[in-house]
Amino acid sequence: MSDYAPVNLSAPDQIEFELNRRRLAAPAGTMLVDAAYAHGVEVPVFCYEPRLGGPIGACRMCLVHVEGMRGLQTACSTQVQPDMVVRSDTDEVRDAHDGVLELLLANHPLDCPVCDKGGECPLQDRTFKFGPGKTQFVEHKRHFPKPLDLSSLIALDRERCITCFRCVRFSQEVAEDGHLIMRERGGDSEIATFTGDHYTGRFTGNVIDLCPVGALTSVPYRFVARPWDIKNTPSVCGHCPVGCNLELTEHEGHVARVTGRPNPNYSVEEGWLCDKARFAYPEDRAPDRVRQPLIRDAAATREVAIEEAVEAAALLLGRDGPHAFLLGPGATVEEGFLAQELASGPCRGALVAQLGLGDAPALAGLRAAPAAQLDDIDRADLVVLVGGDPANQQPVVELRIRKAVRGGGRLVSAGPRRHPLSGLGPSYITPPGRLLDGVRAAGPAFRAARRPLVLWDEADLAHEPAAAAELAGLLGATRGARQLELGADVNGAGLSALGIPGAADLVAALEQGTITTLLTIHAQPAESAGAARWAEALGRVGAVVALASHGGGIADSAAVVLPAATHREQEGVYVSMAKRAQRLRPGAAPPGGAAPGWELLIALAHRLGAAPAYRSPAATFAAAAAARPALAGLSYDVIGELGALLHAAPPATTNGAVGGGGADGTGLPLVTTLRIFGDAAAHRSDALSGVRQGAEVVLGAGEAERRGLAGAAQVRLQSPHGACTLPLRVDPRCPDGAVHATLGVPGAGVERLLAVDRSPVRVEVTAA
Amino acid sequence: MPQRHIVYLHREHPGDMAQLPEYVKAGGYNGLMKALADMEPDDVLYQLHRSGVRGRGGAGFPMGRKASFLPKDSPRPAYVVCNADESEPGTFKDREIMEFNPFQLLEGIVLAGYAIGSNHGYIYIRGEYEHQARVLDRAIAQAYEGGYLGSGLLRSRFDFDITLYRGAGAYICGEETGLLDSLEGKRGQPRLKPPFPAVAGLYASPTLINNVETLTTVPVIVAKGADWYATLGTEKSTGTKVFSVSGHVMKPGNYEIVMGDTSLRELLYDICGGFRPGHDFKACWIGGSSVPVLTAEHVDTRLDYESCETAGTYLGSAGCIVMDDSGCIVRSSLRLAHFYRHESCGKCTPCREGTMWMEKVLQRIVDGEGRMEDLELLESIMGRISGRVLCALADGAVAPIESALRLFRDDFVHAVEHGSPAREPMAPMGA
Amino acid sequence: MSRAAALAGFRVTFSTMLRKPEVIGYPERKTPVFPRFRGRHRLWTHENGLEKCVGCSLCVAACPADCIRVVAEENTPERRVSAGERFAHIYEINMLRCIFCGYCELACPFDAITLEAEYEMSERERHAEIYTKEMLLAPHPKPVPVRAEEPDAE
Repeated sequence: MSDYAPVNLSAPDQIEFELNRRRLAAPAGTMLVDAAYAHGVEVPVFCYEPRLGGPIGACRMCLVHVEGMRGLQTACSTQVQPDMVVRSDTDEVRDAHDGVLELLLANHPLDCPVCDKGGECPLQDRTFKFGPGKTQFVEHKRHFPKPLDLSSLIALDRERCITCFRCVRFSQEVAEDGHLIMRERGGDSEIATFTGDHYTGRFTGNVIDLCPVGALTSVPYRFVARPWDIKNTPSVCGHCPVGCNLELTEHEGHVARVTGRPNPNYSVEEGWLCDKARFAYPEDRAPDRVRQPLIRDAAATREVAIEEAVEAAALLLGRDGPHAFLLGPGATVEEGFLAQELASGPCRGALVAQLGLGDAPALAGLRAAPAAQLDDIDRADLVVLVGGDPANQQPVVELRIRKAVRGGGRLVSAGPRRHPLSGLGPSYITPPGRLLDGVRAAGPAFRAARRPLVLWDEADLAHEPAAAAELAGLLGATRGARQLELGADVNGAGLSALGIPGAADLVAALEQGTITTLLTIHAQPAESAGAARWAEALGRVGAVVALASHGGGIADSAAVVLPAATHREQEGVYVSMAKRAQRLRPGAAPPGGAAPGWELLIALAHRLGAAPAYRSPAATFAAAAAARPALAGLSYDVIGELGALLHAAPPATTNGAVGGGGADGTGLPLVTTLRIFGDAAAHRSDALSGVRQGAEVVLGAGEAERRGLAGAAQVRLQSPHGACTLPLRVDPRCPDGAVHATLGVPGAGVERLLAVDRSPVRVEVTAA
Repeated sequence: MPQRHIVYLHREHPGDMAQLPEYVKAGGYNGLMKALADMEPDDVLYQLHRSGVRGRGGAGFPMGRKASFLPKDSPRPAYVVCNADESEPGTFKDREIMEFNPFQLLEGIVLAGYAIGSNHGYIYIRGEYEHQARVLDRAIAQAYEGGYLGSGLLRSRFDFDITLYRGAGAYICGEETGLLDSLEGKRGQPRLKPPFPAVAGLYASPTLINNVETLTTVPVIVAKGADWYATLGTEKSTGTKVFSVSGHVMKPGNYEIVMGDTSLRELLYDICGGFRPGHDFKACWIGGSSVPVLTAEHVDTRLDYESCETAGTYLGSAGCIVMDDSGCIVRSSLRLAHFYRHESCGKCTPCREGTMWMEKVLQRIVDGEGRMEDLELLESIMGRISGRVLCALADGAVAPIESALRLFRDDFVHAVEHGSPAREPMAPMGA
Repeated sequence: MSRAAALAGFRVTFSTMLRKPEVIGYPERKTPVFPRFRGRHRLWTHENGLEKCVGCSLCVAACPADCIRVVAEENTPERRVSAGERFAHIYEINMLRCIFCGYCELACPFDAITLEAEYEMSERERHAEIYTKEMLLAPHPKPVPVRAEEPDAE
């Protein structure tokens, strides 16, 4: 990982110092190691990791000579001072580097050939660069049985541990789960969990990136590849709208590992990844992966060549319209734009819609308030969290909020559900439709704050116009207040920037039976909100062409299935919830006959006789940027490695917009929750099989008692839109007045209870 | 006998000083009453400063100066922490204070709290001192009952509480920042300094942390005045110091003597009764085990901070371990290496790995499997440890062995050639 | 150039042309190779039968012809193949690509692979030229004699 903190050498308040006889400058407060690194001098470190908080000075690797100070100083804990004279190249310093490395290696096993870290190991690299070359150690080394499963995802090899405390500090001070500890003392020190159980959490995989040796390694990647057998590609995560920057490791033609970037994007994920981002990649090779194009007719389903499938799709889309194009939340900007181009060209009059929320008028006021980026959360003295459950839906935001609170900021949360961050500050839990009360309760906190930051959940506020208006009012009335949207859909912001509306009009058109052919692009309507209505509507469409990466749902019934690349296998642009356009880069080629969505859509346009002038994702995006004001000024070059912000607001879309309206139906209001390891990706990835989460209904103890459900194992939920049956858990801490059900778990069917626009519903709960 | 009792007042008083009435009868709490009645906190601080009393835990840092480092305008509460984690090998002076004269310690803590504007003190006592912890517990209860602790103590407007906290048996928790981490409920490990405890100590608040003996001196300084106290001892080593003498002397034990008045020879031969017949002085670790060893040629060293430094060692905690000519310096070195390896907290690489390595090499030499180059290897390892770590533990591990290797090289060479010349088998060492 | 010098230059030629031609009845008889000859690879096992190769792929990294493929797997108590934590589940050498440079042997930290004397590696199918781990672990069916010592520099 990065190891050194970024240093802004062009900041105004630079102070001058001398390093190895060179006169240099760095901002006041910069640590010596960071300043040296910024000027191209590597002072080796092991325990230093600025993202884990202050230095601890444990490994003693970074010793340097500072004139006027007795003995050698740890450069990781020494700030640059005006006219300080530092040497990192004297014999004394070299002897210190030598000595510390010799001591570190005294008990370090020489099993580099079998160690997964070998070849990309900081201890190895620094031993080569700064080490003694030979050792005087002839005694027996310390031995432990190896390896130990720290969890189903992480293997622990205690012999290799150099006691740098990085993983422990991550667990204690960043994720704040308090799970990892250093057990025993001195040379017997070993990493362990406090309880002796598996290390569980949402961010556990980060300790693999942090470990400077091979003590903590990835179980799914265990012995899969060596560093010279792989290719690393910087890309962006496609599992939630945060848009964490990550790196994809390719080995033998597929993505074999996901890690944080060596140079983190400090404005987004700061190098931390959630375990879903890190361990969902095996879904690319899941058994239900669509590897070959399929043509399905009454008689049979045939695997065909890609040309034949595109031809068949073109035939269906070449018929008289109207047609409809439905984009899933994970479709890229390019795919959305190409769909729009088809709709304005050969398939004139086709409806283009996204499965995501689309534009909600209720949110316009909020979106107009000054916007923040994720790193602004760190500096906020008040974080107001309205709705949502970032820990499960936008996981890395949790770490930012914890960092803000650690730094002295206050967290006030209001929303319909308890979540892992509720305990960090006052929390107002309101039933759905009454979020206004929660916002009002949080209101007074704004008065004392100087840099308040509002995190608001798109899905929860879209149907709470009063709360949204109140919140927008508070934002407007507080100087320095900023807002950051907690988006609902991976690329919802990108598709909205193209002007693609939600799917309400599209589903209505399908129901009327007027749509000839429906093309779905990474969309699974029958597994999305309003699943029951979608299933009904899909029965009335002439034909379906599905561009999909995985089977199941629509891919099992479509007339033509075009096998698509996943977000790890194709180029494209995602726009994050903070309106940051970022580039996906293919970590590996898609398997079998599968191809990137943009390529399939361009091929389709060719077949339909409307060949676009561009043939690459870069050119497609350039055309989109030229045609859509919200993307103005952007290109692949401008976006670059770290992304670029959208400056213009997305166009307002009139059709399909959600918002307003009270809850449908009778009974208890339904609160849907998402779980980080409860979505389709987590259920497909065999790496996550040990942590994956199922669906359940949760009722407060009082509510369960009142309805005579306290002893029920399963309950049936019935809304005006549909019904489902799920296991019941009675949780005394769960607020009464609502029923909580897990959304997004494949096969659970909670989506059937909802309307297509995700408007609030009430459900009848009965024992099943 | 040049002994003088300031902290060991119980030795001069016939009654049981561990009972509050007896302590009061012996003139106890005069200092606190005087301070509360007619001294401002700054006056007390000034007295400490003027007395020149230095920390008795080992480092010998002037207490008044330490107390003056506490920021006056901190928004956080200040704390007094009494370091009663007396774990230095050969040191058992604090144990006697806590067991027989606990109220003088409590009074000292309250006075220190008064001086720095603190209302809460902690006593961190080592886990093995079970009986002493019980005595202190009872003393604290009696002090609360008698109005010598609690809110508005001695009918003044000053509040002070004392909490007794028992450690779990780790040498490193005697290091002040390791102690603070342990007191906060964390793994006991030294912290990076700065910030020093005076600025950000317990719970990141200003903290005055002092040894039991130091704090026990405070009531006497306040009661009798700093000027009186400063007349005792030398210019830079004022007052008295308790020496815990152990090892091959006829009368081992704690002896409180005025600093600079006595030489090591007088301490060993006159006060402690000399050596067994037929044996004579060989080596002495004067400040606990973490200091360079002294040989017969240093036996006339005066017992004060400066003279010890001139002799090439440190007064340290004055836990004086004496060895006569029947002892084996190589085996003692191994025993010490074992101790420091076992007690290293494991935070800093050089200490964690270096102490382990030193023990392994010394073990080999003692077992008669040493090589001549092992002596240079030992020197090389020690050179890579000292001065390159966070706290003093590793330096303490190096000092006695480095000096032994230098001053008793012949013994080491003999051990390499023939194994350890010990007359009796060594007791088994624990984990 | 003098005549004597020219004759001297032809000394070896003349002395050889009068010698009886030496015919080796290959393939029944094979020319012995020099001890440092680099021929077909061989993978080795320890005396207890465990494979020396731990599947570390260092040979892959060293190979200038990119002709080695290693897929590692983890040893389990039920299935222990090598002495280390991992073993080579697949170890393949493409003999058509191999240039017999011996870098794999140099790179190997466990002396698991060596280049031996055998040089007869022609096959009838191209794919048969990819030698598997089982083939490389077994002695070559067509052994080649090795010269006992360096010959005179005649």
